[in-house]
Amino acid sequence: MNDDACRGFRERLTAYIYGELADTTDFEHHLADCPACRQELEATRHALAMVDRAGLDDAPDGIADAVVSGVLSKLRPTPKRPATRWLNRVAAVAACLLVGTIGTWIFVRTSGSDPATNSGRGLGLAARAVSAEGQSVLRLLDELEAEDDILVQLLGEKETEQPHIDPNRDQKGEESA
Amino acid sequence: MRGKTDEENDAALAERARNGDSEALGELVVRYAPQVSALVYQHVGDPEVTRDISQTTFLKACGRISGLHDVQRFRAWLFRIAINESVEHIRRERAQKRTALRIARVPIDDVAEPGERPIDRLIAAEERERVIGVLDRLPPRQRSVFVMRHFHGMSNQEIADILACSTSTVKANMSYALKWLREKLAGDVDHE
Ligand SMILES: [Zn+2]
Repeated sequence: MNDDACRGFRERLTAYIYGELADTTDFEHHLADCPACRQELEATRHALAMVDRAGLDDAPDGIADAVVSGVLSKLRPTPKRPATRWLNRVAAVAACLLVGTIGTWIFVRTSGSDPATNSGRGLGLAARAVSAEGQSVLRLLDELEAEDDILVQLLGEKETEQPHIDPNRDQKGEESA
Repeated sequence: MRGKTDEENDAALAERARNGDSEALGELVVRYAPQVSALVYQHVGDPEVTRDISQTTFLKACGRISGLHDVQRFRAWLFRIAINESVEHIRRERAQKRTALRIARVPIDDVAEPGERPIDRLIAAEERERVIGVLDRLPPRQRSVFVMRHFHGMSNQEIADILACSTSTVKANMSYALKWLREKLAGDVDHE
């Protein structure tokens, strides 16, 4: 037994166990001569074998996937689609109804001084005018919807360029690094 | 282990992510989620806590990536955030004197070999409890070093990078961890 040799042995024990010792000759020489160091190596290997048998391994299945979807959902902005679409719709319907009502009112007011003879024709024309108005409302809604889609796509792409993160959550945690 | 091409691809992705490319950022999250989850799980041992800490790790990384100076060291940088979060969690738990921390454990059914006798399974379960208890009581930094070295096959230099310390500190922590395990698990030598 040699104290210096034993100290040198202990310093290289980890590297030897993990197969990182370039030259093992001295190490194994000492091992052959020193029962105390041999015992230490065996005890270490035994403990590591127990650790491996205990099966401390990767995270359970599904954790990594849950992490990915959780993080990605927080990085993607929530599109403002429903709000803008409803506002557009309400505005379009209100505008068309207003135009239709005023148009019908003007039409009825200006279509002759004899309501008895003209009312039937007048109502028919008014009904056709309102129906045309209704179709243009539908067309307008379709157009708005298409435009809305493009807008949401553009907004979505632009907004995902920068991750949205709560800045308050980003301050601590690395001070010990 | 990872090859040089992986490292280069990671660096290229990190570079793009640093410049605001959200697709590259997403790809890094997908690529690193398994490794980060494993690393965190081996520290805290609880699936729910693992998920929360891993998510926080990635969100912090995404928020700070514009400040990452060396994209070649993305992995070390990311793991450092994960380990700091894990160690902080362990310290919080200990400060609140919660029940002993449970390091990563695999359900008995996952470990038992087919055709194994019940008595063997019982002995295996007891041994596992013991090992887990011993690892639980290791100081957090030494546990980190041991987990990275033993389970992730990282070099002293890599671990030093991650923990922002010298390789001699890493070696000293690892020696301490091995001594701890050797002493605490020594009584079992006669069982075999
Ligand atoms: Zn010796």
